[in-house]
Amino acid sequence: MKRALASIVATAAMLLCLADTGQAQQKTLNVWWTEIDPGSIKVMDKVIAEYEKEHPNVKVRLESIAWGTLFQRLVASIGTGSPPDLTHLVPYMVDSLYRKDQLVPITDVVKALGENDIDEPARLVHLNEGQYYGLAYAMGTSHWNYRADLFKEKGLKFPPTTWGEVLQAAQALSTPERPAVTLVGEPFYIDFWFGEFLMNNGGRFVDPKTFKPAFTDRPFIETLAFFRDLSKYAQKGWTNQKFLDTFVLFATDKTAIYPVNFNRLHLFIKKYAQPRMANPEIFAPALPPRGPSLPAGEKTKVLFDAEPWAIIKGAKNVQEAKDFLKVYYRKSLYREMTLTVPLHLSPVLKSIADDPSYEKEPAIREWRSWYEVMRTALRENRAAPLLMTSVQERNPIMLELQGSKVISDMVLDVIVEGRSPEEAAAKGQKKAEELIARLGWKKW
Amino acid sequence: VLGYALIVPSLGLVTGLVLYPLLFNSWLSVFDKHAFLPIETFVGLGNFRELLGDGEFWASLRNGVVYAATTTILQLALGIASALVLHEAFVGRSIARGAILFPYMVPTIVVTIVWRWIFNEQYGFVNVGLAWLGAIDTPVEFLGPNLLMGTVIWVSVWQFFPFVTLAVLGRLQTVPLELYEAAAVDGAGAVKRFRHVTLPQLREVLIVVVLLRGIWMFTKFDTVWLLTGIEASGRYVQTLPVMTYLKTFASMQVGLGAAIGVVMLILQGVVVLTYLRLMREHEEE
Repeated sequence: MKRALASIVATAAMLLCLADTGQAQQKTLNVWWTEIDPGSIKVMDKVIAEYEKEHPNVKVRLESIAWGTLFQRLVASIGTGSPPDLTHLVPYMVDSLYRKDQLVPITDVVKALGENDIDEPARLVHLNEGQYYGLAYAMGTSHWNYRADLFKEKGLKFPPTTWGEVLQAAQALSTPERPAVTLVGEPFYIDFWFGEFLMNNGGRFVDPKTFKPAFTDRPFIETLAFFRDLSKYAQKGWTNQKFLDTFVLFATDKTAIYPVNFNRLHLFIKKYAQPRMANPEIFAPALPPRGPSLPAGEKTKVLFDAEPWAIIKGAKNVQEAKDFLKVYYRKSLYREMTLTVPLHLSPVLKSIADDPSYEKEPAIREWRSWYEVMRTALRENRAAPLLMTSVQERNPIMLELQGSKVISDMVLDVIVEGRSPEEAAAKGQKKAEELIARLGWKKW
Repeated sequence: VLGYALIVPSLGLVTGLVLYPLLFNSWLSVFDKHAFLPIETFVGLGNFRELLGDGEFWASLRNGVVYAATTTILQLALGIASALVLHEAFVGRSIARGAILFPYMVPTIVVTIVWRWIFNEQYGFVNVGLAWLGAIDTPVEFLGPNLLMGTVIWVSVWQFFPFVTLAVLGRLQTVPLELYEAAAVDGAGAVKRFRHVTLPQLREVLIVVVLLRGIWMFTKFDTVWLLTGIEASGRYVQTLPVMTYLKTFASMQVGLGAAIGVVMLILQGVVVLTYLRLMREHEEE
């Protein structure tokens, strides 16, 4: 009996060892990404298939994460020691995580792809002390979009170039049934919009040397006031409207001005607008208007939408993640990926973007003016990453500042609760100062 | 020895799943600790002092109390009423009994997406319907700052009242029919029978249901967060569990988040003990 029991135990132990060996050989590469377009997901499936074919011992587990919750999920995963192997980030997150020594450099990937082949702003934004800590999965820029036909009908100046002109147009185009301005209700996007307005009013969130919040500075106060004035002409219920829903609103003739939108909008226009209207002559793009405090001679800037792939320290499969990136940027697949959301997901590889055949793609030809706005902004160095004022800016505290909702809270304090911009800014300043001090970044 | 050995697994589970998290959370609450960096400073009761002076904390507490109290009361009312109806004999009763559990069985994420769609200002079923009937000129902002609490309460009651129905219906089926017959013989009408026969019989089950639903609603995170957390207007219905999440994972202040957890535990402990004591006193009378 004893012998029988011993042999059962021994066999079970052997089987367990074998199973364990088998499992050890098979790795799972956890990839978080934020792209939602069904076409992009299909191409990503191709990337995964190709990668898994070349790396039969690795299984890729792709997880779609909403931008609005990426940050919290990432913090939880880092805190519990189980970050994804590869993830999308936002540039200001890269800088913040780099300063906290939480990122693995991917310089070898950048060099393998050809450093000179990567668009300069997309590359430089993640260069820290000679090492790259992120690489944009694609890039694009923001612009303001207007219903040019309605502007013409009302005899309004097109495009508006100052905040004052925008407000005049908003007033002229608004009716009780159809307010003119589209606003988005997700704090994540409210912050970005505010950042764009602020940058184009000569302001900034914090002092770059001391990290002291600059919320009580004049450009900041003016920006809060502008947001408030713009909201007077915004669609009903905007404080709870999701980003993509607002694209549909604009496309379906429910509003006439869409501030700070990204080129993904054109797909919604094609899908939802009346066919006779679904063209760039009706939905016309323009570079952002300027605020009253932007120094004369300084050009307005657009948001540089270049979310990078990054590897968090503590990831279990760093080399596999790097190998995955090399497959992701493989030219045939990458070109196909960027064309799933043309204009919005522009390639960071110059060999693709500058290829004359790329510009001949139907969507780019059809929406040429949109493409040109982006090219102009990039050519004239007028693109600044979200919540930053240039690709050179480094700011370690934007991650926490954005996560604390202090920016969107100020906007709501002014718009929903009717506080004065000065009062809201003072409240936000206090909260931000306390947060920065608590995090150990206070240098003032 | 065998007796002690047999309780070891239970003891292990209680220690691992209840005691350790409680103690760890209490330990965290006296530190100023970053969410993932190895930065921690002992601050004693500093986090609690900070909370007491924080308007956001008091607003979240107020929202939480309003939310928990209102939803619990409405769930009770709806749950008891539906249980009484389902206790009666009628054609299709079995189907109705199954169907009423539907809201409780649907995953919260589905519930919140569907109700967000129904209440949407631009394309929501309710607003479109009201406009079509000519009842409104402009959309009602069910998800806007002013009505959001009402909407969250409505969705939560809809989602969780079947729990009360189930518990009450189960108890109703064990109430001896003789009690009703005797009451009828004594001339008691439907209302009196409910008040003097049904309610006393439901007493024990209602005590438990109020306790459980009250605790669960006060600590409810998923429904509130998924319905309101992503949008700016969410701050107008922010409850303590949501504030805990945001402090911990958005502002990365784990100590502060843990302190909110401790405060919630103490508050609930006080309320539960007071409630049970009152019930016991009432019973003794």
